[in-house]
Parts: sequence; C-alpha cells; structure tokens
Amino acid sequence: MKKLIRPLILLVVGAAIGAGGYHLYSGYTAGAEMAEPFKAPDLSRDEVRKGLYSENLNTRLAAFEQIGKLPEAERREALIEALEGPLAKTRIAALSALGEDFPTDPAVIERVLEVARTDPDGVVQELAFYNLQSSGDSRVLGMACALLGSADAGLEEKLCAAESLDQLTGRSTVGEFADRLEDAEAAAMDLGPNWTKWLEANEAQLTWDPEKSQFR
Amino acid sequence: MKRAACSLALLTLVLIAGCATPEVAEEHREKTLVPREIEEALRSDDPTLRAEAARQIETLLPERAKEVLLELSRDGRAQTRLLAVNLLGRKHATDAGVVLRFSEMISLDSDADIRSAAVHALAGSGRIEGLAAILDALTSDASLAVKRDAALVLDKLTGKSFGREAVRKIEGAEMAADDAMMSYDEWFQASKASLRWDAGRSRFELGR
Repeated sequence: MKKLIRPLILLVVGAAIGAGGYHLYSGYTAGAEMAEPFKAPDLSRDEVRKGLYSENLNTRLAAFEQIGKLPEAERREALIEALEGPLAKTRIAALSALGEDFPTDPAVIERVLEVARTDPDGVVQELAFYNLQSSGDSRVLGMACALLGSADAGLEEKLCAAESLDQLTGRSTVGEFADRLEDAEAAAMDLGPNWTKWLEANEAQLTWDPEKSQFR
Repeated sequence: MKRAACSLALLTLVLIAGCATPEVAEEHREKTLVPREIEEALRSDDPTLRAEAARQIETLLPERAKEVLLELSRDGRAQTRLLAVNLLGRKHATDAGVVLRFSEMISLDSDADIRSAAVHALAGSGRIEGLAAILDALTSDASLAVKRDAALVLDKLTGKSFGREAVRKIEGAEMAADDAMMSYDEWFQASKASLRWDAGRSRFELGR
C-alpha cells in the first residue's frame, strides 16, 4: 500500500485538475485569494491562451475551464507554452491537461522530457515523469535508470523509479530493494525513542570534552 | 664530477620549470581577493573562486566572517548554503547563534545534503542544544540519508553504538538501490534497440 501512495497521489492530483478540478487544488492553496465565489468571465481564444499562465487565480481558472474553445493544435501549443509559466500550479495544471489529452504526442513528449529533467519544482518534475510513463517513449526508461543511480536522489525517490521501471517493463527487480528499504526505515524509527530516552536520562550530567570532541 | 652532474641536472630542471607555459604559471598563482569581493566570490559558479574565497574569508573578514556566512546560509542557491554551512562548522560551530541556525536548517532546509551538512557541523558545537537538533534530524527527517548521518554523529558524540544496526540497514538499502540500477542499466543497454510499446498493457515489450 505504501508503494502505491505516491502514484496514487499524483493520479488524484492529475485527475482532479484534468477534470476541471483545478479550482479544488488552487482553492485549497489560495486561501485568502478566494474571497468571493468564482464567476468565470467569457474569454476570447487569445485571452484563454494568455490566461493559462496568468498570475491572477481567477484568470487562470477561467482559462483552464474554457480551454476547450481552442482547436486541438492550438490547445496543445497553449498548454506547452503554459509549461513555462512562472507558477508551479500552472505548470502542474498544464501537465495534467497534456497528460490527459496528448499523452503520446511527439512535441509534447519532448517538452515534458525537458520539464522532467529541469523544472525547479520537485512536484512538477514528478508529474512530468509520471506523464512520460504513458507516452510510449523509451527515454522514460533511461530517465528512471538515471534517477535510480543518482547521488542526489533519496532512497524513497529511487524506490519510486524502480517501481516505475518494473511497471513499464513487466520485470520484477524491486522486491529486494523494497524489503531492505522497509527494514532500514523500521530500524531508523526504532532508534529515535532509544536516543530520546537516553538523552532525557543523561542530559543533566553531560559535559563536553573538547579533547575527545565528545559528551561525557 | 658527480656533484657537478647533479647540480647541472638540478639547474636543468629549474630552467624547465621556469619555462612552464603562462597558463600553467597562471593556474598556480593565488587569486588575492579583497574583502568586498568575498561574498560575491562565495556565491560564484566558479569552484576555484569559491574555494579561494573559502580559504581567505576568515583572514579578510576577521570580524564579519560569521555574519556573512550566516547570511549566505539563507541564500536561494543550495550550493551557496552548503558552502556556508561547511565554513560555519569549521570555525564557528560553538557559537550559540550558529548552533541555532544549524538547528533551523535541519528543520527547514529543502535540500537533504544541506541538512546532513548541518548535522555534521553540529558535531563540533559542544552544546546540548546541538545534540537535541541532531536527535530531531534522526526522528523527524524525511530522508534516510540524513537519519543515517544523525545516527552516526550521535554515536560519535557520545561513544555509544545505538545507531550501528540502523546505519548498516540504511547502507544495505542503498546497496540494493545500486544493484537494482545496475540490473536495469544492463538490461536497458541490451534491450533498448528492440523495445516496443504495448499501448494496451501500457508497457514496453521486447520486439520479435
């Protein structure tokens, strides 16, 4: 169940956004911005295009809701453009829409590959990587391998990469890794209370020995 | 005669060294920074310049080094924050304000390498609150690598070995990740030319 949490979270976020639930996500995070009930203005095609990456919440909401006004090719281009938006929320919404409407489009795949490699926001990168798993482009395998071997990635990220690889190839290599990771997490969790108990019992008597760089 | 031959050989070597290309001579020359350049140099993308600034900061800014480094520990770039933590740990780890900053970084910095660096930097603080911050990393950090480092430092600071088993298991998980990576890398290199996408099953199959 633990292994499914991250993909499930991404699925839920993606589905909520793709189904026009963008305002759920941004409404939750916008807080004070949502002072009044939202009434979408009727936007022109040009306003929809520009509105996708507006910093104004209501404008963005209206733009994503009315994106169907754009013909298919224009919609794709507008969403690709929105991947350069300044806000991570915009890029996430654009990725979700692209993942739903254009999962195997070559131009979209190229752009999403770039986002997966270079976006400054970790959630955006993960969603891009998730999108690529439906693309049919084998470069996603190379990307997952690179993540698995990366010195910068945490063990949990590596596990997700390994699980994705297993899912994409029908192979089964993640078992040993997952078991050892679970053991490691359990051991680390047990360690905390031991140290807390020790520190509580001894804190008052501890003195610093600068010669040995240790507490006595 | 023998002595003359040795002297001649030595002289020849000196002459050759003296004729080293300007680029080589330049490379070995120290870049002397002035105080107002230090901060910018520490933020630089040039690793040589950063290293030089790191080497000179305490000499050039004897009264202000700590303050400058504390400010840099809040920089938007992880590379700058990491350097600041390492330099603060080297000379200022026992300072109460620095210990507080390390504790904040352990709780709040988004970069696991920086949180690990703060854990290691606290090892030299000699303060109980430093110990508490390291324990916080052990119990609350999202990264197993940071927890591993916290376990190692706590054992080192107290002479205990509570963390030995956990460290062993974390390192075991890291090795399993490397094994999974090597297995996939080998398979991918061998198979990539013949992979075909099966849209029905949403996975790659080996083509026939």
